[in-house]
Amino acid sequence: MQAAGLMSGGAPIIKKYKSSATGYIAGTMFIASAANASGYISVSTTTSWAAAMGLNVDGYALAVGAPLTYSTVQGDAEALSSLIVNPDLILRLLMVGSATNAVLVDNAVLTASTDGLTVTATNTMSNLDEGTIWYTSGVNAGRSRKITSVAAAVATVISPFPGDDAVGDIALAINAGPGQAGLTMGTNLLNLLQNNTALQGAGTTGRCLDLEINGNSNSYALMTIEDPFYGAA
Amino acid sequence: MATTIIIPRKDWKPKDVVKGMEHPGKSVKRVAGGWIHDLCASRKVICLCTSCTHKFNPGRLGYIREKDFPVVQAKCDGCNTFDSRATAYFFEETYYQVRSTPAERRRNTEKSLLNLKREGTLSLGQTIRKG
Repeated sequence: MQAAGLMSGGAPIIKKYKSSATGYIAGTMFIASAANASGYISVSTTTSWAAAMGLNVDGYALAVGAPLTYSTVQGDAEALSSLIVNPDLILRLLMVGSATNAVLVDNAVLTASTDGLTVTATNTMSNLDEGTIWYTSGVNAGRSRKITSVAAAVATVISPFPGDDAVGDIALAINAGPGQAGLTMGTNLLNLLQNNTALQGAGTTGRCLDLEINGNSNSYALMTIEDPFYGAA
Repeated sequence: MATTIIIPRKDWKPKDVVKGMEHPGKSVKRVAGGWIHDLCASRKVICLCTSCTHKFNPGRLGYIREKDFPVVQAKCDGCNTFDSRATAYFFEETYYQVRSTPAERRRNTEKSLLNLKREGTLSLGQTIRKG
């Protein structure tokens, strides 16, 4: 994930902390480490950002994507990680369709709509109520709506799409939308899992601020941290 | 008469403890340049205060200056002084993994638009209004 800005518009605070455990790569969220860990910060998990310390902006990467590893050998350098620790940090996460970072699932329209109020597609959207749906092809390409109810592979909206979709048009549906809380990360802890299994309200303590809807491989969610370590009440 | 030693205690909160856990930076025996080169070798973000920033040549070490955040609040890696108007330098290879800039977002939107036009969903002169 990326740092996209601060809600206050101020300057980011960057701290270099001693790291514990392994598996750190640049762009992951760090949380306060547990007792008896070798350092003060630990990597988050796919479903927990509890006591989030901040976004790791370097890691100890000797190659892009290579994890940071601390050493227990006397004389070796300490493992450090630089974090942006602002509690109002805005994070930008690529949305992916599987835990292993496949693209968002293209959902081809199976039955054409005549009123712009329903999207009857191929894949189930049963868990995507209150999420967002948009088209990437057809007459409604680029148009998005909030999902207000779902039934298997049918998503219903209240504000109709401007045109009637056609069989074969591609729609993308996700469970995120501005204001929605809870997110599940992909296994690399960098991307946001958005498919029918990633449930709203579950997962880590992040809240959706906005969406950048594009195609299935380049759509992003802007998120805020709900349980910041330095900003908690 | 026995001597009483009074030890002042502070009610440390976890936040206070962690605030004190920041890495102290280079040791007093080290030269700043060597320390910063060590940080660069492990591809760390380099933060330099207004007095030290002109001594660092980011391009030579594969670093780029953060321009979207013109100032950051950080402890200077050169002189260990906290500066609320410091400059951050990111390792170029990992920069776009951790930072999103308006230029990158603009490219992404333009790419998306171009794809729609290529598919014939939009005519070439038409712009998309997402909503």
